[in-house]
Amino acid sequence: MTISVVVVDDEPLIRSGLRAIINAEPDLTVVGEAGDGAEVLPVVRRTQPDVVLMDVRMPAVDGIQATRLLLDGLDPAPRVLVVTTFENDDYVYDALRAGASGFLLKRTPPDDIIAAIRTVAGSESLLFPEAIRALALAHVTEQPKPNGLAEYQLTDREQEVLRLMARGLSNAEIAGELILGVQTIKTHVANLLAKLGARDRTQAVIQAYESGFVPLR
Amino acid sequence: MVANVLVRGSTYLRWVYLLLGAALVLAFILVDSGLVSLLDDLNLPKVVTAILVVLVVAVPPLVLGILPAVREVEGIAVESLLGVRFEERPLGPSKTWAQRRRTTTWFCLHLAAGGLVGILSTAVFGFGAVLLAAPFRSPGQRELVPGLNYQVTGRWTDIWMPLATIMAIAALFLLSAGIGALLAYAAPRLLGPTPAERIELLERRTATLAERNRLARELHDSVGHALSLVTIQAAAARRVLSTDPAFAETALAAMETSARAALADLDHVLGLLRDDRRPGSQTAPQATLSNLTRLVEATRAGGITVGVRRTGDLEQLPAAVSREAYRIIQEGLTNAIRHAGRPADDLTVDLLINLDKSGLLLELTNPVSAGAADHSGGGRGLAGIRERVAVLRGTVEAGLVADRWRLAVRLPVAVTTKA
Repeated sequence: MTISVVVVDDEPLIRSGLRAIINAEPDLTVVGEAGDGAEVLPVVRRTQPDVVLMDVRMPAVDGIQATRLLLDGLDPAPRVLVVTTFENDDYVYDALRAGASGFLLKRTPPDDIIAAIRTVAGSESLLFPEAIRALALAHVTEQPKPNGLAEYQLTDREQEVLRLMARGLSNAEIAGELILGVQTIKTHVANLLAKLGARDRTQAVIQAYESGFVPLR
Repeated sequence: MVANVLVRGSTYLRWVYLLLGAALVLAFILVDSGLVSLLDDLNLPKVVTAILVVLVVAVPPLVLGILPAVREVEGIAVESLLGVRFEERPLGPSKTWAQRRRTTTWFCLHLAAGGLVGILSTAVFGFGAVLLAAPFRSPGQRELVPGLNYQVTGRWTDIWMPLATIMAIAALFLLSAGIGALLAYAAPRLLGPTPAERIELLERRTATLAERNRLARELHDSVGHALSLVTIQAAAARRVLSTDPAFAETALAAMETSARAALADLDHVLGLLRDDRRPGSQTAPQATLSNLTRLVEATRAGGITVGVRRTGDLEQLPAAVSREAYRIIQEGLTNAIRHAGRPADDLTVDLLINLDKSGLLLELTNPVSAGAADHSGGGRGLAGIRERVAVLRGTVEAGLVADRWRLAVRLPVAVTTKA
C-alpha cells in the first residue's frame, strides 16, 4: 500500500527537497503541494492524501489554523505532521492541540522523516513520545484535575493501555506487556479514543497529560 | 580612620581634580589682574570700577561654563578623578539651557573648591619645605613671611617644625578628601541627568534594547530558515544523486545561495548586536525590499500615486537591512498619507531607492498641507524610523524642502560584489 503525502510550506525549496526525499521511497508518494495554509483545503480535497506535512510559519494562514481547517472540514481527515524549524517553537504544542498527530524538525535526518511519516500514517504508535511529554511539561500550566480522566469512565484495562500509549508503546508492544492479543489491544485503543473523543493517540496522550491522569513530573 | 583616608588612592586623585580647578583659577587671575589694572588706570568712579571688577572676575567662568563641551570635559575628569559613575555614559555636551545652567554651577563650584585647595597646597608645601629644613640651620631668628618669625634654637624642641609640616600635609589631604567627597556627592546631581532626562534616557535605552531584541530574533529566524533549507536540500540531493542528477545540481545551487545569504545576514546583524536573546514566536516571516512591489501596489490601491525609482542590485542587501528598509518605507508611506491633509487621490509620493558603494539611500517626498506642516516634525512614525536607523548606525534627515516633505534615510551597507 502506498502512503500519499501533501507537502505544505511557503518556501518552494523546502517543498522540492521534501518531495525528492519522500518520492525516493517506493512506498511513499507526494500527491500535492501547497504554498500557504489557505491553499491546503482544496489541494487535500482533490488529492485525498494519507498524511499532510504542514509548515508552522506561513505568511497568510499559518499551520495551526490550516490544521484546524483540515480536521474540522474533512471526514475522514488526513493525519497532520507539523514541520518546524525550531524545537522550542511555542506553536508546535498549539498545533498538536489543534489535532496534529505529531511534529518533525526540518533538520531531522531524511530516514527519520520517512519513518515519522510511516508511523503517523499507520497510527500504530505515538510519534516521539518523549518530545511530546517535554512539550506538555513546558506548556501545561493548569493544575491537574484531582480525578484525572474519571469523567470519561475508562475501564481499568483502557487506563493501562493509555498509560502505555503515553510511553510510546505500539499496539504490538502493549499486547506483549499486558499478555493480550494485538486485536484485543486495538479494540481497547479504539474504545478509549472514542470515550475521550480523541482523533488519534497523540490527542489522547495530550488529554492524559493535561488532566493529570499521567503525571508530567 | 584618618590613616585610612590618607592611604586611599582616591584621596590623591581627588586632590588632583581640585588642583585642576586651581590651575584654571590661576589662569583667570592672570587675565583678571591685567584687566583690573587697566580699569584702575581709567580713573572711573569707585562704584563703577567695583561693578566692572566684579564683571571682569565673574563673566569668564560663567561664559566657559555655558560652553556645551565643558559638560563633556568635566564629565570625563569627574569620572576618572572623583570616581563618580554617571547614568549617562559618557556624559555628552550640554544640550539644553537647564543643563548649561547646572554645568555652570558645577564649574564655579569646581573653581571655588579648587582655588581654596590650591592656595592651601601652595602654602603647606611652600612653608613645609622651609620648616622641614629649619632644624638643620644655624640657631637664630628666622623670617617665614614678612611679619611672621620663628626661632631656631638648635635643641631637640626644634622637632615641632618638621612635625607641624607633616601634620599640615596630612590636614591638607584630609581636607581635599572631604571636599572631594562633597563634590562627588554633588556631581551626579549637577552634571548628571535630571529625573526628566533620566526617564528620557531610560526610554531611549529600552527602545534600543527592544530593537536589538527584534533584530536578534529575526536573525535567528532567518538563519534557522536558511539552514533548514540547506539541510533538506542536501538530504534530498544525496538520495537522488544517481537517479536524478539534474535535481541534485539544482539543489546544490540552492544550498550555495541560501548559505551565502544567511552568512551575509549573520555577519551584518552580529556586527550590530552584542547580546543575544531567546528566539520569540511570530508566525509570518518578515517582509523585505523584495516585497516592495506588493507594498507599493497596496498603497496605489488606496488611490495614491507612488512614483518609484530604484538603482543598484537590491538583492545584494543583507536581509536585516532589507527588512528595516522595507519597514522604514512602510512607515514613511503611512506618514505621508497621514500628513497630506488632502484627499488621497490627490496625493503623489516619490520614492527613491539607491544602493551603491556609499550605502543604501531611501528618499521619500510628498506634499504637505499648510496645516499639517507644523506637527509633521515629530510623529510617532518618525520616532520609530529614527530608532530603527539608530540601531543600523544610519542617519535620518526629515524636513520641508520647498512645499514638499522630504524624508531621507541613509544606511551603511558593505556591498560585496557577486562571485
